[in-house]
Amino acid sequence: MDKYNLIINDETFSSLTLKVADYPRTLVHWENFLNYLITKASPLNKSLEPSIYKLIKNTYESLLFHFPYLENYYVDYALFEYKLGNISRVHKIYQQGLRKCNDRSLLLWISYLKICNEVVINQRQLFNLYERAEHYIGLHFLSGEFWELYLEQIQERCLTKERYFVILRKVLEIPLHSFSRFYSRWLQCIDDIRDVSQLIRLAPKEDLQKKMKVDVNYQGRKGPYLTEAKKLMRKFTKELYMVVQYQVLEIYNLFESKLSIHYYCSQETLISSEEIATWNAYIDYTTKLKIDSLTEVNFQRALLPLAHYENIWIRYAEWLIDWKEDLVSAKNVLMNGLTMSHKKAAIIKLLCSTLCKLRDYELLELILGKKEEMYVTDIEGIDEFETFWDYLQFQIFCCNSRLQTRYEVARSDQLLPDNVLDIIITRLSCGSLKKGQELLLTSLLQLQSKTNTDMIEKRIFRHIIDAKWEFYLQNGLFWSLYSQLIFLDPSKSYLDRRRHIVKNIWKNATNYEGTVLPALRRFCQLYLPEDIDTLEEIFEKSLDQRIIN
Amino acid sequence: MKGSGNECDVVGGNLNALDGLESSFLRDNSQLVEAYENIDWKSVQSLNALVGSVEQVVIKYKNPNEKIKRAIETIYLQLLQRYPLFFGYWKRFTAVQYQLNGLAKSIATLGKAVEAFPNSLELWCDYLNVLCANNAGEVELIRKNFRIAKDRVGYQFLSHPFWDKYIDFETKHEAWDHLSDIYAELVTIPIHQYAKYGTAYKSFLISANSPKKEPDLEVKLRNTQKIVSLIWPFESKIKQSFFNITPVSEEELSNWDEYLKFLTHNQLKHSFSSKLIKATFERCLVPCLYYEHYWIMYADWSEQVQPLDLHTNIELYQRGMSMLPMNLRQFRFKFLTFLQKNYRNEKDYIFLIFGQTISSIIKLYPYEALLLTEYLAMLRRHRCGTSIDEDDKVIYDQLTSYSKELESAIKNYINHTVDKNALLQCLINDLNLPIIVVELIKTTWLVLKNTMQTRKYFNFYSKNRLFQSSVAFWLTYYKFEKSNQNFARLNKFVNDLGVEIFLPLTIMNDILNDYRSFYLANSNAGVYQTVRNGDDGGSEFHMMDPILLIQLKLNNPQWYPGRYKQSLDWHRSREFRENGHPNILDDKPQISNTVLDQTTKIFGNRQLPLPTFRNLERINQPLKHDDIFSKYYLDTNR
Repeated sequence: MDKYNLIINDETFSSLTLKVADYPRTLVHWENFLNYLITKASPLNKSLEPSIYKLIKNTYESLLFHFPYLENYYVDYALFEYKLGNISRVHKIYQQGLRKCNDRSLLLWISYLKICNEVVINQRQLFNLYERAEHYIGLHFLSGEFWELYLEQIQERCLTKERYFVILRKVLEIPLHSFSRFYSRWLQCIDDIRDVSQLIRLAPKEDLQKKMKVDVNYQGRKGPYLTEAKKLMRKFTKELYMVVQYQVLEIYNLFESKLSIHYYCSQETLISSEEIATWNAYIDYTTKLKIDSLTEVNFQRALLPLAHYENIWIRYAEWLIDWKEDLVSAKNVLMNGLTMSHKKAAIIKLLCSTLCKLRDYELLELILGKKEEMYVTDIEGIDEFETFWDYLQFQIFCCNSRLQTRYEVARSDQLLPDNVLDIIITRLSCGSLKKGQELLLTSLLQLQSKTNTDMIEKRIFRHIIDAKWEFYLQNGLFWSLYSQLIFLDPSKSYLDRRRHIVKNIWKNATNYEGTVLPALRRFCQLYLPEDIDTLEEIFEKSLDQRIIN
Repeated sequence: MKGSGNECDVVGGNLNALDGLESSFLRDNSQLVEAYENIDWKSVQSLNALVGSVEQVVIKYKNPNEKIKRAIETIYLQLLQRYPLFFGYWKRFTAVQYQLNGLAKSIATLGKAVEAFPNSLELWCDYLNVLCANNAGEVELIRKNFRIAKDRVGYQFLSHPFWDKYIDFETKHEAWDHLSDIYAELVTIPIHQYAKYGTAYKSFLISANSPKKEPDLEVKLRNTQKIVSLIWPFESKIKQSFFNITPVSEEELSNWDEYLKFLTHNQLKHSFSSKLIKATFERCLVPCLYYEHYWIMYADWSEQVQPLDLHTNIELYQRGMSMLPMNLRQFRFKFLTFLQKNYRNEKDYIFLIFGQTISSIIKLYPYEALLLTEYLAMLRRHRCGTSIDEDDKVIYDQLTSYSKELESAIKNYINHTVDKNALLQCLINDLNLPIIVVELIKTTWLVLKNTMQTRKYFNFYSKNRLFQSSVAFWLTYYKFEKSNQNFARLNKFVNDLGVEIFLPLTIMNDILNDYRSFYLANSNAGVYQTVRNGDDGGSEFHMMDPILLIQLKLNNPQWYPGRYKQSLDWHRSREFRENGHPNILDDKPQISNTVLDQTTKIFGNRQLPLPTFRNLERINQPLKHDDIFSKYYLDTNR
């Protein structure tokens, strides 16, 4: 029996695969399974059986499909391929990982660049990668290691030192955890200068002239002149150091020192509220610094531990909308958030709004359609009033828009498309089984406009009365809302409305005397104080009548 | 005289009693002057010191002149008007009056005392004693007073001194019929010495004087005994039955609470007489005069046992209102509810009382705009409560005249020409003005259906600064524009929130959320398009839109689209200076020509410029706290 069959016919293999299949979202099962495979397949080298290779590869792929933010497994996976000599696969895996992390993963970049240092011969290609990395993660608080790598490569591979100085000079300004070691490099550079003319390596000639009053072409006695110039250079460096140190300490004391989790955990890991609060405050702080690439990298950093919390996604999208006015990116962030976050209601809400603004009505209708399917098939199973209410609003909006594009008509009796109305009625029919029914009824009243009162009355309030849904009829709020609906109907005269309320609605309500009267009293107090006495009379009469009967 | 312990205004309380006295007198009695001028109305010691020094004066001057007498009397009256339940002071006042002005005046003083504190057993006993001793001839007058006293104190658990006196009196006058009635009633009253009177009654019945027989006496006595043993556990725990300024102890309070609950909840079961319960409430309200809880219990019980006796109940409420400290609102608002509930029974009378009550409460709580709402509802109910079967014209006429009344009240208030005789106008103040305007607008809009006029009102009043932060006004406006589906105006309105219109944050959030729902439900993509494009030529993004951007205004009312984009001097903004440490303004050292936001690639091999700095000198300066409280609050109030 070959090695492959040995592995897959093992009992452990079947128990591990079963667990993975049953609980695909439990990370530890995947880890056990992978460890098992790697151990059994070792040693890993070019002679690995293709079938085993395929098995391991697929396992990695599936693991990363379920947990796209597990940075270290990309590294693991790439190293696995590296051991087998599949360099192009290594590149692919790293790039795939980076794409998932919005290109802003420090861990992946450093590990990737380390490998590239060895395998990429073409300098231009290599430095292109470094430049990309600089763009994405250069301002990361912990990116000191990356800059060290960068500087080393520049030193090794470049013939002249200009690039080295340019890069080092920029690093000096970045608030990094390990900022001071770059200053010692810089001071060393100053020390190494042997001639006034060499000063232009560190700063442009005009600046030297203007800000330091140093003439690089000085022809006099150069020794003391150079010493003086270096002194000035060190002074600038010291001032820069003070400023950056101030920033680093602020960031470190307020935030970085309080953050302990810098990686993706898993679906079931709860993050402490202190940690979340720190991230929130950190994001706030970064946002207000107004350095966009820093803000983006910090959002991405926060997304790793907090991927399953909706708040971070919302904040990211809101920042893109508000500060960057970049709706398309916001949409993408929200779409990602929709797949990762545990709670989705607020994300969907913001997403739908963004789609409206983007005029992407196709996608909007697609999302609404998906939700509608759920509501039609399983309204009992879904219990989130907010989501439901959002769905209704957008659905009505879309429906209005469709009507409007087809023919410009005043829709006198059209409040809602029939299918939506059916869903509402189905939901209302659940009575006490669902939360937020009173809220739904109240909210429906907000849809009242110039022309649709009759329709709301008939299709909802009369419907409930005809269907004898005691849950509502016993509730004073129902009657009070009904009275309110009629009272605010702009299409009827005051007396018509008043008579309708007194003669029809309250008459009906007397059947539920005890429970509904207080709510109606409140209604009267607010809208119809002139009928308080009539209200009391009607209810008293009906009580007397009942006693007689 | 400083301080104002009990807030009810004392008649003559603001007068200085020492005015007009000779300076030599004041010099000689500096103790009195000091005690009077530095009195602390919340300290019994201070009150005692005052009374003590007054008495010293009385001892010192055997025959003081009229001015001094008047001063002494005024001091006592001021004290007792503020605290009528201090029976000790009444007694001392009586003694002083006797010494200064003789017997008749002192009897009159006691008469005043029992009027001011009618539930005081001690004062009644004193008064009756004095009457019997000095006016023995006026039997009917004394008898009348005995009867009044019986109603006031006869049901108190320890009222036997009174009863002894009463029985004595009638026995002395050999009024056997009266005595028989007294005994017959007395044996049914659960008092501490009920047994003594049972025995006395029995002896009286077998004596020759008894005008009638009492076959059920034993049953009655047993019943009384039973009730006494039921209430004894509570009675035995009462330690402080008198009034004091200091707070009543917790045990005492809970004992009263349990006692009263026991009585009221078991009234039917044990057939407690209403007189007993009433007397117990009255006794409780001597030490617990300033405790709202017992007043509420009393009112609840009273409403329950005599729902139709409006006048008694109203009197009770009015008494409580005048006694309770100003900060206790529940009882006062309960009174309003009571009146609203009973309006139907006696419309004109209740309407009158309601107006008086509202007016006195508004004086206490001018910030409570709700009060005017309640009054307006009552006013409309009173003026327009015609049946809907009436002729249309009659109803509309009523409503029109109602709205005219409102309008003229508003006009007069704004023009400072308030008619003092019109209650409605007197109720308006700067804080509740929007309420009445809203009522006027609602009537015009919803009842009279005059949209033009409604809009005129909105335009006119929205310019008045008093309306800038009125929730009622702006919510009505919002509803009005919603019903007209006027999106342009609604958009402007939500834009103005937090900038021109200042409402509580939660309300603004509610409006923003609601508007979004309303917009989605009543608008369409075409309409939305026009909002987005705007017509002020600004960039599309910088218009507030009711679907997406409106959400960013939640919890951040001063936000507007593009707020963060347009700041060139960002480092001077408050947000930047407070960043990371709210309320500490920190001009952080910064690199002013920073290259952080540029990649090194664009520099190629060109050297980066030398750094320049901002605020470098402040690096070691202490942080500046922005003390908003003293800056904006204390300073402006200073």
